[in-house]
Amino acid sequence: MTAASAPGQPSARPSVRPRVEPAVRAVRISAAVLCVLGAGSLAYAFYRVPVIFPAATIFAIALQVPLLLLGWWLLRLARPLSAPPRTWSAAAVIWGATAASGCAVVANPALTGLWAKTAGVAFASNWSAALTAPLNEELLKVSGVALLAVAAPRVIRGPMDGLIIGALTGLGFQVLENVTYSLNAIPLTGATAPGAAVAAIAIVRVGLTTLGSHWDMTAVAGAGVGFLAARGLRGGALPAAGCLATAMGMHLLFDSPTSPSAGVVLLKVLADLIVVGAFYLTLRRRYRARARAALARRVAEGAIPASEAPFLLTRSGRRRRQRQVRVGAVRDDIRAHQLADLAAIEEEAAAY
Amino acid sequence: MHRVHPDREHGSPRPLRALIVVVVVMVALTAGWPLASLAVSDNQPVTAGQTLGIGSGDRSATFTPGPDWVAHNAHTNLLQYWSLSDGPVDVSVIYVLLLNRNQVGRLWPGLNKILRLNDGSAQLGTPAAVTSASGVRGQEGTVTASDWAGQAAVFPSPDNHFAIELVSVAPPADRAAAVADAALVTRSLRFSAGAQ
Repeated sequence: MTAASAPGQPSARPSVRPRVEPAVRAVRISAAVLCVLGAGSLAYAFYRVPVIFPAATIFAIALQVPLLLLGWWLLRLARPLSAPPRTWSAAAVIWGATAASGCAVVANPALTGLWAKTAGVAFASNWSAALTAPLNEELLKVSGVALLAVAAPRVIRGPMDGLIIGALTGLGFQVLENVTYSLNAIPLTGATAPGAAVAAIAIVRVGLTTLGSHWDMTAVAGAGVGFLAARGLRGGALPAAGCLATAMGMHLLFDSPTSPSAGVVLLKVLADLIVVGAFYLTLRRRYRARARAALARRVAEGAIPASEAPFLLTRSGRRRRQRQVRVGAVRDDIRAHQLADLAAIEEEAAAY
Repeated sequence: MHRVHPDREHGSPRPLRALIVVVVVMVALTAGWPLASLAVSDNQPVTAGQTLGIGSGDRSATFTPGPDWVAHNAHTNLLQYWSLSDGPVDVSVIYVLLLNRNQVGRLWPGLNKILRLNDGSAQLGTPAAVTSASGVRGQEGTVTASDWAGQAAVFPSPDNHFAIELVSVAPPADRAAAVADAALVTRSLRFSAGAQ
């Protein structure tokens, strides 16, 4: 029996955090700087809007808060066994909303203009969005997932971790894009009714297209980063490239110039949802199978008491086990052992 | 025995290499595309007498630019926006969707706010009624800013589902040319039959 699992023994969780390597710290600082630069780019692009349309700007932001909170909760809940750390989940959302979005507001108009100059206005009017956003935005978003995999390697250990962190990155991008689209709708409707324009965009983008938008595209691309993290460049490059290409394909489908009718848009949403759903369910099934195998082996080795095993692999089970004892030192000890055992099991389950 | 640092048990064995790759990708997209776009000319001469369309299907309009005008393709979208120039004069023709038919009366103050999004010193004058050669009725007036001046106009479609807005500006010394170009577009403006 290991110290990690023996009730009554001190927790195996290290009391002192390992020192962060200088190279990893450099990555973290660089990522933070890129987020600040991205936020600055967004502020430069939109700083006049809150000055001239203050109420509509507040309204546009307020309408996205429920999506942000609900997405945050659901996506973190979607990871089997336990949620990813709050700090790094927040880092993923922030990257999507700042670094990725801030670079996109520079890169997208430039590439759109290039399409118009080289292929003509008629072609660009129909196809520039479909040929620009998948390339620029998927690369910018997945760059954040890749940086996070390097800045916090224990957070992205395999494709399931990458999928969840990618989805959170996409959520940040999606929420920010919803706000900017709402603000852009004000001039597109002649600034005759800023509040109504903002509300109309929120209804479409939250009510109609949320389930087929950035969060699921970047989830797929993020799974690719997870393959790289688990297998290294040699074994992970091909699946990572496949995941990124799939995410770009999902984005291209979504932005392709088809009928703007709600039925066609819903079909596109459904297609993207099916793709990310297939990825998630496949990875989840294998993740949970590996977790069950790791738990069974540890129980057979005596590393985890058989009496604790039935409670360990679900959030509700762990809570149920904790509630079997009174609040206090014993419950804290059970909780500490659960976390330590779970960390070891997740370590095996996450690899692919 | 070599002990692996906890931060190295997963992820890239070379964090700085991964960082460089990411930074290169981001710089390539945010600086590379603008530089590539700058290398290609944005001036597309408009054929004399050529009619240009804006909007789509029943919700569209046409107008005719003057001779020797050029279109700026990078800032043009056939559904929403034409960016044109005639020497020192910049002409923008904008498609505006009306969410409600009652909003027609707010087009002029709305345009004033839109102009201020791009230039805080922009100011529209008092509007006056104007009618195109085809009978399209709208409002027009002066537009001024610290570095430019000209003429603006708004034309709600007959069914009040959308509107066409026109802004023609130039440095203050060329204001008369901007006003003349605005008049040229105004005279030629026609809404599609479906918008009647």
